[in-house]
Amino acid sequence: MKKLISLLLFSLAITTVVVPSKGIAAGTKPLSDYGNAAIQELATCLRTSNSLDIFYLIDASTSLEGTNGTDPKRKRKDIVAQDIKRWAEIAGFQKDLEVNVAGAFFNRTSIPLANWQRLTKKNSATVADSFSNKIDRQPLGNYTNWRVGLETAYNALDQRDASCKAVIWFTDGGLWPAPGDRLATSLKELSALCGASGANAVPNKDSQKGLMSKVRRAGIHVYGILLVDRSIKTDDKNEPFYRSIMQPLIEEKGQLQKAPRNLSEDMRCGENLEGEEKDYASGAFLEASSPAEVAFKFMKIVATVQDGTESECSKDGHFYVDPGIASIEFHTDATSWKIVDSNNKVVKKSNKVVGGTTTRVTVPPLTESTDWKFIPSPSGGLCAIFVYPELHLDLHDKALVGGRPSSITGQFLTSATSGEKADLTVFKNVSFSAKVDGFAQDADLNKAAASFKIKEYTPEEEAKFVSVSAKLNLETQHYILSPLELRQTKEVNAPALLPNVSKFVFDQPIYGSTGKATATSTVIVPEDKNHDSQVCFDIPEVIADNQDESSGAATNRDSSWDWKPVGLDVQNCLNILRGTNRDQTVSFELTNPKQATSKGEALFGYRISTDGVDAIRDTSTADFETQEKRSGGMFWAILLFCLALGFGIPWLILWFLNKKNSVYAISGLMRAEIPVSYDSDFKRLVPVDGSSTDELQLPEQFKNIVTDKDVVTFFSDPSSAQVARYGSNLNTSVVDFSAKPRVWPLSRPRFSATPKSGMFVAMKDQLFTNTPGPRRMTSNNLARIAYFACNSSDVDSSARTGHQLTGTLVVFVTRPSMMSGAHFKGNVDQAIKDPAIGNAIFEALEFSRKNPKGNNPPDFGGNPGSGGGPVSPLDPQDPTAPSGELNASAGFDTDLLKDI
Amino acid sequence: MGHSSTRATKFPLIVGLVSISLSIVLAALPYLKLVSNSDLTSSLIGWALTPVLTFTMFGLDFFFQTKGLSQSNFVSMEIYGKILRVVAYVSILVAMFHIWRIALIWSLV
Repeated sequence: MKKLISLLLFSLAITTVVVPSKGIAAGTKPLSDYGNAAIQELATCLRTSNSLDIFYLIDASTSLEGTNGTDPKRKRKDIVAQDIKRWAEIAGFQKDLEVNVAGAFFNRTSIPLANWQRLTKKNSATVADSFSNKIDRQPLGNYTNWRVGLETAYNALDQRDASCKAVIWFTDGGLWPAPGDRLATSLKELSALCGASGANAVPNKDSQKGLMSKVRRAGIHVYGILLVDRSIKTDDKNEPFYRSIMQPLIEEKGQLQKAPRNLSEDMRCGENLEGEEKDYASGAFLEASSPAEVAFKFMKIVATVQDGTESECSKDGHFYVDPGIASIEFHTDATSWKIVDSNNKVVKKSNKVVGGTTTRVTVPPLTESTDWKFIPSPSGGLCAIFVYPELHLDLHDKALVGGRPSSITGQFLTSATSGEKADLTVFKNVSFSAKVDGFAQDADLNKAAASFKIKEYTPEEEAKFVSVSAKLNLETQHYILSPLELRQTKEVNAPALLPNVSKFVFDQPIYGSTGKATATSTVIVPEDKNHDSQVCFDIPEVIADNQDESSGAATNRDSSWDWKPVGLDVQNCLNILRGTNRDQTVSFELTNPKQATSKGEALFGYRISTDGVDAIRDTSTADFETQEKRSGGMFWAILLFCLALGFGIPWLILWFLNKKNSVYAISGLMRAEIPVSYDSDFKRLVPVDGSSTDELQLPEQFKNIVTDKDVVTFFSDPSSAQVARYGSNLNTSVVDFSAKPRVWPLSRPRFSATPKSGMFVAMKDQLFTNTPGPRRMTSNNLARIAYFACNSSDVDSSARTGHQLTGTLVVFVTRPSMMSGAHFKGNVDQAIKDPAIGNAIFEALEFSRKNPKGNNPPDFGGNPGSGGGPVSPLDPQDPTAPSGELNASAGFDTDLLKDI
Repeated sequence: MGHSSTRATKFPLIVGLVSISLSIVLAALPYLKLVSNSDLTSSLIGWALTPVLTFTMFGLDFFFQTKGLSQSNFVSMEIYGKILRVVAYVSILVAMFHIWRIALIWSLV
């Protein structure tokens, strides 16, 4: 049982966390489909219009205040003021949009609130304050005569030129027009409002005669907000009936509540046309239970008009921010709140708020969905979230001419003011559809460029107008956004009077940075040749540049397109004089120094004017391509250069370092000097102290140069104290050691052993070839260095007299601590028997014999004319000596290094 | 009292590893569309990291380690050299991405 309870509790907890709740969302009654559509209609209207008039119709009846008042603190003044400021923001968002506001109070009669004033971002606070002050000061009166108020609104709006019109009607009481029998007077007013024939019944037939139909036919959207606080008792038991009239009055039909005297509860108030037949403005009814909720309803209208999509406020505050969402708006009555992103970083916060706030947060560009959190305090209050894609529609000017095929094009922008193109590829699902005169039409949407084209449409020759509508459905990972709709009635022009501008076509792609493409169109003379005509072109615009993005995002080339008109006058116009039969050609050359492989689209805008016909704006689009031009030779040259430099730079750095720091480091070194003589019969050395090494006192002959505990570096710095201390021991008076870095910097440096002046040295493993050039040891290991040394004069003397040559055998041993007596002996044995040393001495003697002093050396590459006497190739002091330096390649010994 | 030993510096290893990691990230940027298809900055920095810096660090480690041998208490770390050798070889592959892109962009005429 306990397990079952735990499981239930766990399930409940999971449900609470995971399932989003609308429990704290604002609104007692959801908006009807009709109401939703009505708000969308205003959004659609604004998308293709540049003017909006809003009329505030504010209740000024006594029911708002007093002991049972619904809004005793006059919060409505702040709500209206805030609403005005938000409409001003819309004016700022949308390019060239003019928003005007006016208002009136109503109770038994209508009382002026404010005349028409244009709203701008700058004056919005002033206008809002003036409305707020007037609402605050307005004395209240008896009765709520809706007809009087609505008539005032209608009269104020009907004469206005604005393309989009709306009444925002706020009331807290049911219909109560005047003194007397409330039901009778109300039914009479209803008859006038709905155009019903009988004045003693609830209107329940469709009619286009009433005031409400006139309002709708005038394109005025009525958004009514009814404040009903059900906790407040009303004197009239039929109050719910009178209140319930507002919904069908605005939304054309609905059910009344608790109708007295057996009156019909089915009310109809309008023409109730549907679908394509419905050609008038709709309205929306919204109900609120408190002034705070009224504010929410006001916000909903503005948010929906701005293409905001309402989302649920989850109990734990989590909400998703998806790619494609440009901003998020919150409305809350919490006294303090904060919004944190997925990293718990505070995005926005507010403290000590009184009366609720509306805040909008701009979302940075995202590549994937993230999880943010809204944390109100206290929690559980009113909450509303709206997500905005912030797309603006730029519909290209298109003139429709009867009988001529045309297309309608446009583009979605992220900012109407900057003209920045939107990227629809970030949305999860995108669909676009279009209708002309109610019939579905082929339409293309380029998601990357956010441009659309309602394809070839040919209006009938006699047609005067066509109705164009289009719908863009967007879906992000977590939101199905409100569709973006446009609806427009376009005039169809008579074909006979107008020249026909054929579609522009580009001749070729733009190759490279200097290439150009020419777009050409033919202007065909009008059928009626009795009039002068003129076609004036705008500088074309590239509206799509869909670049190959396989190696990076597209380069912004918007500012580098260059257009050059051909065949036009200085005003870019083409004149067609009356009587002419000759069609003319117009061209525009397009170049762009910034290269990219791309498929683009250009928009050509022009105005056609003919005697007696106002200038008609038209556009046409043409596709073009740009292609990169690359030099193959340059490509490979740069590639190889970068490759070479990539390795050359480190090589240079290391070579330099190596040059400065050629080091021979050694630990533990002993050297033995053994007197030896040369046995010319066997071409080998013999110890002077005995006939074999067995008779030598080894290892006593070896003397420590460097102990095992010390480390000595040679050659890193010739002047260092270490060299001064040990150099003489190592170098003795016979050879000098020196170091030289290799070309490949990671190779060990080459060490050379050079006989000193007047010395003859024959090294173990040394390759004597009798050829010019350095003579190198095959070993690069100091442990194996051994050499025979004597004075050069002794060699000459021995060669001349045939006396036995004597000298010293020098043997080095490293790591002596690891050596046994046998090792020492082995090393000395190897050196004594080394054929290289024996051969070297033999060749030196032979050379001296054949070249007594005063003769030129035969084949060691010396300069024959450089010396006065015979030059020994073994004399290192002679600059012409070919092998005066005996190079010993003795680099870093890894075996040695391990021991250190 | 024994001598405290001196280990071979990790600096070349760290710089080498950071260089190749950063270079791989930079090489991926164009394909993630985070830089424009004409932007050279990422490729030039990538080229400076691989192979220039990785190879320099490989050699520098060799240099530091052999130089350190002049101290009797020096502890060489052969593993650093081995890792840096692999890093250097791999960096040739990474470098090709950058060098190819540099050549592609600079050879436009």
